[in-house]
Amino acid sequence: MKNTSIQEELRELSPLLLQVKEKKDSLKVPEGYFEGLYDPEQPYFSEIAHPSGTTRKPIQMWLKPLLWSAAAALALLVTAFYFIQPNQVSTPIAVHFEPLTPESATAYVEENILEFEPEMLENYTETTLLVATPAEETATAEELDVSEEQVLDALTEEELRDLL
Amino acid sequence: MLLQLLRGTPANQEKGFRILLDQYGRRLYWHIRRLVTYHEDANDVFQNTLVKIYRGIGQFEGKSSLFTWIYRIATNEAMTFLQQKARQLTDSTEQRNHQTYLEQLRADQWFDGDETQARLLEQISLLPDKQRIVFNLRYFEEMPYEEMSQLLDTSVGALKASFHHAVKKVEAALLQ
Repeated sequence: MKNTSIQEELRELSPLLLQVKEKKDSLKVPEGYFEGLYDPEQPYFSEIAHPSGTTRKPIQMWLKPLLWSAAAALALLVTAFYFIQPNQVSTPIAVHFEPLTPESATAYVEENILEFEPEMLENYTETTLLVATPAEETATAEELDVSEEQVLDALTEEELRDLL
Repeated sequence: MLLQLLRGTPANQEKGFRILLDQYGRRLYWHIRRLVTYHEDANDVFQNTLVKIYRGIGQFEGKSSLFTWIYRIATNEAMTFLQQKARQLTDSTEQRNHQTYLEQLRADQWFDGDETQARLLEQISLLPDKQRIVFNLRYFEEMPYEEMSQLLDTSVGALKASFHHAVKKVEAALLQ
């Protein structure tokens, strides 16, 4: 049902615009456009499925060879740099960790007692302090018999964001 | 319920969007289309609007109705699009004048109107932003002033004055 008030308003204001309004709509849409809005191929659907800060755009076809050329040039540069300086012996950066003793750990906890949650302190007093040697510091999740998924589950979203 | 769905699990969000498109899709599209004129532009703005709704639904505070909030997003998106387009045209050599506007419109496959209708759209496009929105909402969408008042956060009196002013301006141009 038509809203009569706009017709009356226009009749008083501008009969010409009322006359134009009575004509069939001058703007058309492609057939089936509204039905196609549910299509998962629609750009907004991909945003819902893979939310991101910006709408992802596929790499333009003409850009692909350019990207490959840039990658090849970079690889060539790196290789050339390696062969140009054969006499230079790279020395690995030595990282030395002081072994953590139970005494120094206890001293640290006592010094920073306010920084610890009560729950953590309870655990601390109940269990023997484990002293990690430099070799043990590199233990992987696999060695600890913990799956990556378990680690991810245990981390909060904030912690994960900090890691990324 | 629609709001809960849109804020729910991914499966529920999908359901929510289907309902939203069913309820408001056509109205939203036409609201955008009347502002940007061309179907391709309207489709782009419409897609962006849906993405903005999806991203912002968590921040929707319920101070206005969901429909009002969605309509505001669509209006802002359309106006931002028009401003960007105008800037691009000003920067480029293809600066659009009145003649090229009509030429482009007549060449558009999704325009099927006569000369007066083409000139009407041209004159609407020349209105100041706020007046154009008010004109479209009243003239094409036949929105009551009270609803428009909530949407645009403007008094009914000011909206009536704005519409009357726009009508007189467009009519005068058409009679020339």
